[in-house]
Amino acid sequence: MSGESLPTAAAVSCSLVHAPGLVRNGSKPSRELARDAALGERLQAALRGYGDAVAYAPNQAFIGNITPESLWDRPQPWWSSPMPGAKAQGPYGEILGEDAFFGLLRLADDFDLVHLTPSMRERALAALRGHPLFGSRDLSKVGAEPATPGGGEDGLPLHDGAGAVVGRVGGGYDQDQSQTPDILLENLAAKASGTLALLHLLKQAGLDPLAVDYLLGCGEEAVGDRYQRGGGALAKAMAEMAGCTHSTGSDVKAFCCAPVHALVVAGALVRSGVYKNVVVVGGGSLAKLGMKMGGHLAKNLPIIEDCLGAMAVLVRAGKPGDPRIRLDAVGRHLVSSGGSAGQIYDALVTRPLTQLGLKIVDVDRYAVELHNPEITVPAASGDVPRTNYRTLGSLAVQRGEITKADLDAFVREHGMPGFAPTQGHIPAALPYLAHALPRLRDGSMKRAFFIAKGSLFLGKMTNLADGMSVMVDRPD
Amino acid sequence: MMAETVTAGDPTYTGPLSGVSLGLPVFHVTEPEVKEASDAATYKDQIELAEIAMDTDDIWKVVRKVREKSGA
Repeated sequence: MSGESLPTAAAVSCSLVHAPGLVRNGSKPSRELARDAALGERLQAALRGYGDAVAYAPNQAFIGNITPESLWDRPQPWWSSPMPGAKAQGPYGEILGEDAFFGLLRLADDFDLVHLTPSMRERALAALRGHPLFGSRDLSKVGAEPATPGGGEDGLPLHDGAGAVVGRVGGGYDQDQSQTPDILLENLAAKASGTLALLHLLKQAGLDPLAVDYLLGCGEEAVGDRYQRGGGALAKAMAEMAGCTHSTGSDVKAFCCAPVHALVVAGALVRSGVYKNVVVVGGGSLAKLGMKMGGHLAKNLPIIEDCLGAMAVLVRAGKPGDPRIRLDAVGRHLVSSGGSAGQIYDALVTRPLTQLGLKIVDVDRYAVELHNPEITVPAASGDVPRTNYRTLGSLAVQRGEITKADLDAFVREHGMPGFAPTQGHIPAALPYLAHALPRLRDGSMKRAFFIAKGSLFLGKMTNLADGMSVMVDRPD
Repeated sequence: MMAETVTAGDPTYTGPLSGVSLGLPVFHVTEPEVKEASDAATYKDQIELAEIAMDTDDIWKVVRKVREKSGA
């Protein structure tokens, strides 16, 4: 496979949706609230306002206003050191407010499932009318009560960040356990936020929506009904909503490492000539809002898991000089690879680098699972990126590239602090691709390596984990 | 905390070992007592990389303290 023919990642968008009112609909909060209604008041008091979410440094890194590496030098905890003058728009996307998002949920809703109160309809309209991506669209659906009755008294109540009921979501087919209101809300949230990322991607790349050929969804929501619980193709629903009418799409499912699987598949589809412009897109995971709330409430921290994450990557044929997706050395965790840290990193890092004749230290930056440690550490889940970088550095120690005394320096030189919300597939390496691309283009970086792992065993169909990695580099 | 749980009893008083002192001596897998008794090839395959990545001195200190405290 010649270097010139390798596909390129032409653009990456990363956006957040601040959705404090939907935190109570996350899996953990909804279960805890059902068990202990008194918890509602504590949860409500711990929710952040939009301004706090915008001024939160990891969120600023996510949309590209600061680099992830700069978080190392910012005062911690980050949540109590807001960034003055922080903007909701960044070079890679935005931090969308909840009023606009309730409007997007309604725009995403083709079955009159979402019923907003008149006041929320007005708030949503006001937010969307002034939005650069939606202001010129037909928003009449947002402003009107759905023609089909639904939601009703039996629907799932929707709350805003202040705790007021602002609407309801109805269910799908009667007695269909795959289309209960909470599941449909999760799926609509993924569709709406993913479409937001897709629209930002098209704008950033200056690409006509009609030029998109194919989309690969990489989210984790199971879209379907009672006979096909995870039927899928949410990507096609997003494509329709974004006006990519000359495209179709499907979803790649592999738990948290689906985005890297999808990037490789997208690259292969372009490389083979099947399609010209392929988009990998992942919407937010509503189920994971407030996932670590127990640890946060116990330590009197705000609920930081109040944002849905969304991202999209445009893959197409590269021009000479474009950063290349190295399909010639993809790292795969095989069925036979084994599950220890050493075996996983051998499969995902040593083997592909050896294939390319490179050492571990030859890669400028590694992007691993980029979970924000401020979310995970108080919940006793550890600093995920730090652990991964130390393991990676240990591999370099084992191979004699560095000494154990160099481990901290290795983490600093080749890693970064976690800056992504704990949204499953969203922290899985690719948000750093947005940061790496301009540096690969301007020559200040030569190689970035993306490693994602997935906990397949959670689905109870295998005890295996999964992993996928790929390097993006700048041609010599 | 795991070491303390099976030695002196669950320090958080949330699990079945609350107030139950099993008095089991606990070793971290990277401590010499365990490492030297392990098959070298298996240790290298399964543990070595994680061992390099860990702050083993701190971990050993904590686990040893739990053993000493309980006389296990």
